Amino acid sequence: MTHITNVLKLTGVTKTYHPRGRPAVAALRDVSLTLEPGGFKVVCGASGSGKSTLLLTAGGLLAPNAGSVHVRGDDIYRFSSEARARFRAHRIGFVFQQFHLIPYLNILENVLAPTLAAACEEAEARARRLIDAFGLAHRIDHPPSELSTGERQRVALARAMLNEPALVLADEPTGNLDEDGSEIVLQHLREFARRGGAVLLATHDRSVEADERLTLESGVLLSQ
Amino acid sequence: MSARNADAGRQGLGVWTLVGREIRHRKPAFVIGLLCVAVAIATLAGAVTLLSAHETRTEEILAERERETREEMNRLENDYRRIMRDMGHNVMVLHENQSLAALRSAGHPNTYMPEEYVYELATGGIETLNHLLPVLQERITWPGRDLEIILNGTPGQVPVYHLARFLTEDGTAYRNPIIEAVPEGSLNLGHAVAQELGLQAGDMATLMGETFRIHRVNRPQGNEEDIMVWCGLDKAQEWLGRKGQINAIFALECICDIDALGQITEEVHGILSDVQVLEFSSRVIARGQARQRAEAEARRAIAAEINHRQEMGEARRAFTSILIPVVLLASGLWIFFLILGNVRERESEIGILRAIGVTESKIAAVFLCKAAVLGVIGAAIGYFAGVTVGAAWAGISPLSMEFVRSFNPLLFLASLLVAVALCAVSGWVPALKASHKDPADILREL
Ligand SMILES: Nc1ncnc2c1ncn2[C@@H]1O[C@H](COP(=O)(O)OP(=O)(O)OP(=O)(O)O)[C@@H](O)[C@H]1O
Ligand SMILES: [Mg+2]
Repeated sequence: MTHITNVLKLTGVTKTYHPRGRPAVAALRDVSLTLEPGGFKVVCGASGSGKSTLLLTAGGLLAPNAGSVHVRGDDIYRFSSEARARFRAHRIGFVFQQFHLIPYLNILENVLAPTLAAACEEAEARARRLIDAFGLAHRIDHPPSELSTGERQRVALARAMLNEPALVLADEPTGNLDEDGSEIVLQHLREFARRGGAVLLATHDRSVEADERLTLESGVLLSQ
Repeated sequence: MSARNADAGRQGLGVWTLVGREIRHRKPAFVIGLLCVAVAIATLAGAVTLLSAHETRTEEILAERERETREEMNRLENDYRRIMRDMGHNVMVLHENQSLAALRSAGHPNTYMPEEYVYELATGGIETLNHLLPVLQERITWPGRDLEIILNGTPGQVPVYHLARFLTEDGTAYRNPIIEAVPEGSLNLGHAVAQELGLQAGDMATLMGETFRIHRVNRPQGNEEDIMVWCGLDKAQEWLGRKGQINAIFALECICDIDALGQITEEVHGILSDVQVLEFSSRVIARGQARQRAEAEARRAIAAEINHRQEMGEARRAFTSILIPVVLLASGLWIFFLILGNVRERESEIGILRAIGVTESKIAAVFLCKAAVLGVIGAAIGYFAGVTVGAAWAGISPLSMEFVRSFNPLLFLASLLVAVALCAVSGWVPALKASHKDPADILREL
């Protein structure tokens, strides 16, 4: 294992959609990229350029047609889907533009949702610490519907970080937020990277600062 | 912290918490699901309760009818016994040469047999005759009173010794004789004789130069018995000059063998060849036949009742045997679509749960657990509703003990099992569908 230093390593990943009865869509073409611990990379691209496809593939949710995806040295598509799910539970956190909070759970329970997949010691204490750190302690037993969009995104962020993953994949996490809200979320992601986590963030917003900015154009990754 | 926080648990979130929260969040849909399960189980429990109540009721009614009939039969039988005794004997053994015309015109037999005949009959192993009464009868005029009487000498009943039922426990004495012997030195008088002579029981009277005490005066019978005078057989034999002779043996036939004259005759002829057997007292026979008719009628009524209730039970069983599968199928489909709808509604949730690493089997478990909750609660509601309605339909008052007894724990258990199975089977496909959803598809759609 020579590349164990990488948290994420995509090698020649190609993903083509084959919608039934319509022409195939090449969403990713021969994409390679690496992300080290503490790395914070941003993928920019126009709508339809393949950003979401890239994150889903990197997160073990969408198998590529060619190429490989290694997370912390494991070729995740070699796993069975159940094993991959367990792997995600321990190693990968997702943040989405629409947050995807569970409407009938309160904030604490939403942050604790990953324990459904992997129960862990002191989960609740850690959840409370995260909620506190994200400035949501006063909202702890409110349902998501009673929160502002910025607060919801912070809850989603806390949930992604509960199991202390090695990698956070964030798909347009600031897409629904105003400038202040965006800044708070980005700060937390940078903070996570500083503590040794790796962040891959997809956005069409070119103003987001990063260690390295990559551009996707029609499924082709260009380095800048 | 609030209870709501505390029950999230130290280890994190459990499937049951998730299920409970989701149910609370989508109450109306859950209530509709409950209703559906409850209706199915209520139908099942109600039908079973109704049918078993019907069966119990049938047994009760039949037991009641059976008891009534038995009582009626006993009453008739007692009547019959009493009438038999009051009216006298119903079989008469006469010498074979006895002319029936002479018997009728004289009012007593005039052909004689040896007295031993009765003992031969009594010891000859006869089965059909119970009580044997040898008599020597003759029409005479009460000397000095110008009164026609039928003198009737009898030693009293001769026991049929081998018939144990007529002996006392120690087997020595004759139990409960129907006709008692006339005590030594006394007479029994027919009603008309006593009236004519102005005699009562206890009075003294003179007959054939001897003085007797009147032992008994019989009630009026409206036949020859009213002009009879009973005395000891030896006295009659002495007065009539018929030493060692009798002219009739009366017998009380066993009352359950009313139609057995042929059998009786055959038996008697087996012991005594030169006698004839006569049946008389046609009222007794009519009464016996009436009793048999009444019994047959009662049996027919019971049979009709059984038949009616069986048909009713059959109809109810047939109805429920169609109703139950139809209701189970309909509610199964209903639950299927409800859970399918729930899966659709929760697609984003399923997607996000899959993304954060919840396995397919756990997603399926979430839906199956919810189906189980639906089944258990629905079964409980349906069971109580069903038993109540079923019992009410069967005419059991909700205030009675019988109503309380209608709640059968085994049926409750069966209801739970059926409901959970119904929900599990109906929820299986949607749950698998939910767990197999491609999270990438779901997440991209949102
Ligand atoms: N399931 C699918 N079947 C067919 N084509 C698809 C499917 N999902 C995505 N695509 C196509 O693949 C390309 C990449 O889509 P993707 O969602 O990755 O873009 P994106 O960069 O995330 O866009 P946006 O910024 O609008 O979210 C698009 O052209 C899209 O139409
Ligand atoms: Mg996208």
